Amino acid sequence: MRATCWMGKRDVRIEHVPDPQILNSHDAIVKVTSTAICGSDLHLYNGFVPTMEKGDILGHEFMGEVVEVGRNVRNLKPGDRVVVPFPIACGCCAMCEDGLYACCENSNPNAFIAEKVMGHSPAGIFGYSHMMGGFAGGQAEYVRVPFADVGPLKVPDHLSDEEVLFLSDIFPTGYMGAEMCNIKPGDTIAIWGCGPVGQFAIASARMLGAERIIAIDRFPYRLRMARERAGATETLNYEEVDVLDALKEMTGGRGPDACIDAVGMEAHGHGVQYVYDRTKQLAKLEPDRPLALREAILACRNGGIVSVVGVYGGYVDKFPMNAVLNRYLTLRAGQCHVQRYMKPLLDRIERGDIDPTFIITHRMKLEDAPRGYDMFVHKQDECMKVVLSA
Amino acid sequence: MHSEIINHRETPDGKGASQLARGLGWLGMGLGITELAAPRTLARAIGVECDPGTRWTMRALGAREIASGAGIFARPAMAAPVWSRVAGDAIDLALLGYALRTRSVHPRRTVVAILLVAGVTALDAYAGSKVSGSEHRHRPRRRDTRVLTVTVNLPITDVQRRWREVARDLAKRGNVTFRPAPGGRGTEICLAIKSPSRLAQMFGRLTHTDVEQLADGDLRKVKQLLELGEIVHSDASVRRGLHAAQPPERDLHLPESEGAITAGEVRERAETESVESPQEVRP
Repeated sequence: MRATCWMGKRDVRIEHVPDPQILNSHDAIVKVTSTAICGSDLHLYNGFVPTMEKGDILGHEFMGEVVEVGRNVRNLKPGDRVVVPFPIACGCCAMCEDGLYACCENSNPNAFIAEKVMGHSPAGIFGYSHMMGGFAGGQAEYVRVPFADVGPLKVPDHLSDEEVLFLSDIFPTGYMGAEMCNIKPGDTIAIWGCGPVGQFAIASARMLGAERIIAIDRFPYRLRMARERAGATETLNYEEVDVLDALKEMTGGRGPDACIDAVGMEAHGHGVQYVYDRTKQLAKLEPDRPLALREAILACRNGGIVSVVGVYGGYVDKFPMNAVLNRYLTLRAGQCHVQRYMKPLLDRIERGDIDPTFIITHRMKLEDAPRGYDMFVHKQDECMKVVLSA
Repeated sequence: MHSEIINHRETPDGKGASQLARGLGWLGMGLGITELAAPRTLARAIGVECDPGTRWTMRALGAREIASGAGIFARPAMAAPVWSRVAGDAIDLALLGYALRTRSVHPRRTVVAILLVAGVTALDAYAGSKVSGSEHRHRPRRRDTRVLTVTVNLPITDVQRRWREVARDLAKRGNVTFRPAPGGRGTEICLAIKSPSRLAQMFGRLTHTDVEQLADGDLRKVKQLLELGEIVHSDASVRRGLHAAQPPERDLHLPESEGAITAGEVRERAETESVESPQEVRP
């Protein structure tokens, strides 16, 4: 089969690889009909995620048709149309029972690597380094889906691929980012990063009843989409204004009630801080550039919540812990427990609360994945979301 | 009182020794800076001809003195930096002896310098042996057993009933015990193994044969077998060694002899009792 393979930093190619096979009794093989390039795939593309191997198949946002199931998969059969959540979860360890699927204790065969870096291992993830399991990803013709009786969600025929594809990652991730803010009537939520996850965080904050939603980015087309499509009430371009001053002014000096970091490890910025982080990152002294996170912490009102859904790769420097401590901030973060949000969010799509297709800007064939990565990373042609189809 | 506290770095005895070491460290620092900054003056003082060769040798010796001093200040209770001073003294004495024979312009001054350095050498050696002694007595003892644990999300009775069928080889690695996890969090399986020597551990980590790592992997597999009925594989992990995360070739055989439980056993077990779905495994 053909698959999108990571061949090195900024080098992604379509390669011919063996077809997947059932390795465990709860596996299914899915023929991929639609898949998308995620913003977090760009961290792999740019070479910032450790433990990648040449030839790794990428992709953790995908859906398709079940073509084969393992002996113990009882709820799916060949022909079923499913969306697959990006964290792999067994469904019966203590974490899964608590609904913390992204922290599954059994799904990462390389847990010993993750334990060395993170203390304990999180769940395995499709196409996201060997530290996260070494699972082949879904930007391919076929993919093996472990624990197919736990994660994948059957989708109704009347909804198109594009309407449900983002249930695999970015819509639930954005939603969880907003949900972690404990939004109450009258709340002001500020969101750093208006990429796909940021757009869904904005839309979710709106659905959860936030009164004001302030979106922050540097690309006018992204800010425009945040205002016109996602539901931001105001936007700030951090290349034009000082974000901390502007947020103070907009919120009567209090600061937003909650802040969402939908940026992660490759934040941009200007001034000394950006040069400092960029230099340290290039010298491999610091894996992350946490500029958005620092700003979100400083901006948040006393006693507020900072919700982190942007991806980080390691230890961060110059973390304003005194602000977190002295101002009673709550820091919440997590890879999304997609499995617990898929069904309720599918219901919202069916009810018409949201049409997730608004973020798609480019549609391509699987063969064009290398071009898709290049466009997305350079933000060419106002690129927001690339969907690849079989 | 102090002697009762194992691992206490500065017992009265050790304190005296490290204080002496620190004093010598300061002496070395002072001398080192002089050697670096004013090699010409120092050469004159010890009566040695002052050509560029002497000056550069002097500077190199100064850098060494400073490094030894810095080592002592960083780790006053450690003997190695103090012994590095003794080694340095030996070099100094050898060079001074050589200078006395070949390039001394004031032999009397050079002899005085040799006597002074010999005195310092004696002091350094005395401090080194003192610090070594207290270091030896108070170094933390290496634990000879290590307990590895994993929590299985099943009641202890289930684990006790089923563990032998999935983990019969685990007992060969060490002593296995069970205890209920608090608050109904399942069962903690504890495996006490003999710690390998430092050397064996280093070798094991390089060759992926470290007993702690292997035992840890086995425990994880036992957890998976008890909770899921099988060992979880990824496209890369199903093969030995580093592989790209791509589906394996069709003729792949699952690794049969990996750890305590073999894939063959898993299949056998699955065939004989037709593994229940995870929901049914749960009590």
